[in-house]
Amino acid sequence: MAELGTVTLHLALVLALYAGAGSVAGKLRSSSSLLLSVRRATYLLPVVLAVATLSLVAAFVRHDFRVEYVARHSSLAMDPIYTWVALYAGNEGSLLFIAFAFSLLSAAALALASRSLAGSLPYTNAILAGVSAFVLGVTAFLANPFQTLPVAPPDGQGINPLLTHPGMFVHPPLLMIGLIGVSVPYAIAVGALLTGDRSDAWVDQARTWSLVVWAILGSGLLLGAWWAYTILGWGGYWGWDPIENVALMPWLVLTGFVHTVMVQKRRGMFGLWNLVLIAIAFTLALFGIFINRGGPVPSVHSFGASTLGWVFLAFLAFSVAFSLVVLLVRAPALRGTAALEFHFSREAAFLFNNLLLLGVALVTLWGVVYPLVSQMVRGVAVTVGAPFYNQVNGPLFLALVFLMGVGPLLPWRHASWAVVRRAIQVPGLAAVLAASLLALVGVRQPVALFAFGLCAFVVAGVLQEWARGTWVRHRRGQNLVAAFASLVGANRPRYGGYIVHLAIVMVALGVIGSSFYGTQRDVVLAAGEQVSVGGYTVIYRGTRVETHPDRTEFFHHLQGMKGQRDLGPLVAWRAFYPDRRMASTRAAIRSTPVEDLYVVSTESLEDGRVVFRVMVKPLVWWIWMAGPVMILGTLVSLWPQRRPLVESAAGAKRAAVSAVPVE
Amino acid sequence: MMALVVGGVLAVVCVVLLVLPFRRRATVLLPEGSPAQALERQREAAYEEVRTLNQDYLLGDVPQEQYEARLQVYRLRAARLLQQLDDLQELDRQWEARIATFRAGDGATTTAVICQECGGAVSSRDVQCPHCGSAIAPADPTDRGGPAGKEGNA
Repeated sequence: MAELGTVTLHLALVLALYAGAGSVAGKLRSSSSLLLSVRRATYLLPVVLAVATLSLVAAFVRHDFRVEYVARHSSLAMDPIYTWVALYAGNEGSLLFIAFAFSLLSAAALALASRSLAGSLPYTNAILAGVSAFVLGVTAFLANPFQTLPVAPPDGQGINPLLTHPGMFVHPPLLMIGLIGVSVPYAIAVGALLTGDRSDAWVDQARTWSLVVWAILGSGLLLGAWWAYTILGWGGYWGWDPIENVALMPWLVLTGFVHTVMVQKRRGMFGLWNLVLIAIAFTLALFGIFINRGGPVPSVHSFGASTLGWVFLAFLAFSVAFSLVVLLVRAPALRGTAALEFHFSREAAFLFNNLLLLGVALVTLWGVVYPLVSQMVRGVAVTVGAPFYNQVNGPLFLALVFLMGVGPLLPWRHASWAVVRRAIQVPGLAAVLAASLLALVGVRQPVALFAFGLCAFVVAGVLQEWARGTWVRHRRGQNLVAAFASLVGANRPRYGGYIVHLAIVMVALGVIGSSFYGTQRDVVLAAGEQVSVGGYTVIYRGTRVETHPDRTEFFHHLQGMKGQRDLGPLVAWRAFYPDRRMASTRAAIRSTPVEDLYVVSTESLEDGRVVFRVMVKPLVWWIWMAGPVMILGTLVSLWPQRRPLVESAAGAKRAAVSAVPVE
Repeated sequence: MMALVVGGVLAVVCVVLLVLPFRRRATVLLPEGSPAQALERQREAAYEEVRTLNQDYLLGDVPQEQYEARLQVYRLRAARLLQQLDDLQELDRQWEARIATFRAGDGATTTAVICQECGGAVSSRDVQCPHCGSAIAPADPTDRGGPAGKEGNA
């Protein structure tokens, strides 16, 4: 298997180099044969890499400890289910996985590209193949997961215990695919730019791929937060760790891009701005991969400092220089002809939203690189903690939520004061009502009240948009369900976007609730003792111990009560891995839309008592529920749009339903 | 050993698939973004503007006068684009007709005409339109050389 892996890895590298160089040569020489051939190379790449990846998976499943990487990241005692995904437990295997996933994305991008992009596709293919060749080159020569040992050890060192969690099946792959996937919309945009194509033909494709990558990255971030919440035992879900931050930054910039790219599609504006945005997103994604691959910033889940990080840094520097040169050379031809007509318009709201998103991304970037800057300037690496991010980014996020509520209510081009006033009346009233009600039931934190009010504003705005649109169609003869369906179908990007906005509000609710109103208590309990926290009572019943070759597992049995109501049994799990001197926990969580009861055992004392941390975290449930809603909204936005006849709204308003043919 | 054989077979398959395009007759490059495609995209964007304006108007977000003024602008733009598209298509038809005439040989025995049903170029030898399948009426022997009476516009 190791030999097959090595052969196919090198074959894939040759294919990627051929696809990259051949695409440029084929385009410059207008050779259709060469272009067809390199296209095939791009399609063959995932086939060859699938063989390489499966070779590594097979080595793990068969416990082939002759392969050094397998010996370092698995053992006979580990749960067999995790051998299937242990390939990305370390640097080398995860690079191979990234190369494989990216080859699939590249082939799909090429196969699904519109014919109108035929002119720029060779350059797009060259950029995609260039990225593939870099990753494969590093994997083949600097981080080969198929290196073999002279003698196979009887057992491996085992996987990091924190990785033996169901999240391992989805969170790391989604983040890796998301980060490298940003290269696809970047390659489409820059391919068009290199061709000198001044049209907006690339916009649709770039928007589609940006949304796909955005949803993948967003899901990866949410799943990572859920993983941290359930396994790390600190009751939080976001710690502003550098690795979390570097995945968040390109996601933020992509969020801006998918908004302003719609303005370019509709109004022909922000063409250059969008290219700058996608180049920034690409750069930040590469920066994320650099930090993750042994960059100099300490993180709880990077692969540790290694020389590999500097190779990625060099590639990052090259990519930045390449983007800058292409943008500077082509920029003069890209200035849009349309200008912002009024500051109260949807496009203006999109622009402000972009600036805020970039602001949050830059603040986060500053926090990530601050230890390096302080090391260089003062000789001491100062790490920036969560309070910095919360204090600076918190207000920016609130402003973003406000814009998310106002933007969709504004018409394109120009909105008069009367229109703005009328549009925000109902959502404004809803915000005031929600804040007042919450104040009445005991919510006293001014910032929390304001933030909850903003959430109500956004939700009311979305509902108002749906209701108004549905009502107008209903008055024209459709029943309410059909009217709503046709409303969403008529402008899927818009109404899919509203669903995503609701998902963001759900996340905001969870963050606000758990940040301002969480309660926590650390207690030492003997069997039969109990503790009360935030209206809940937790009774410790006893512990069952299981011994395995690599670990000792403790199952702490608890019983939860809410007032007099029995919530049933809860189990807080903890394992100790003596060889690694590591403990891993799994919290006992009882989750409801109102609040979570969260119990984690932090230590087992010699006298049989157990140290528990008991927390009550309001509204966290909404954060996890936001994931499916976000994906639903993205799917609605991406679903191909039917093109209805353009008809006169004035005629319709006069109830004549008079279709005015324009074709 | 087995692994090397599988890897070798895979490599050979790759080489064969990559070389095959060079052994065929020169294939035609995929069409680049043509002026017609660009115009169609602009037309689609203009329609999108009208649809959005209609929606905003129906929801009461755009006052009557503003709506009518903007609708007029968009319609004029769409009409201009349609006119340009028509001109391009007409030009295409004329060229196709000329090519058909050229391909038909010396031009003395055949003439190129346009199908009355779909507007596609057909040769006077055709009894059926190769584009839409409609029957072709026999050509007027005095009418030669493509889109009759329109050479001046080409």
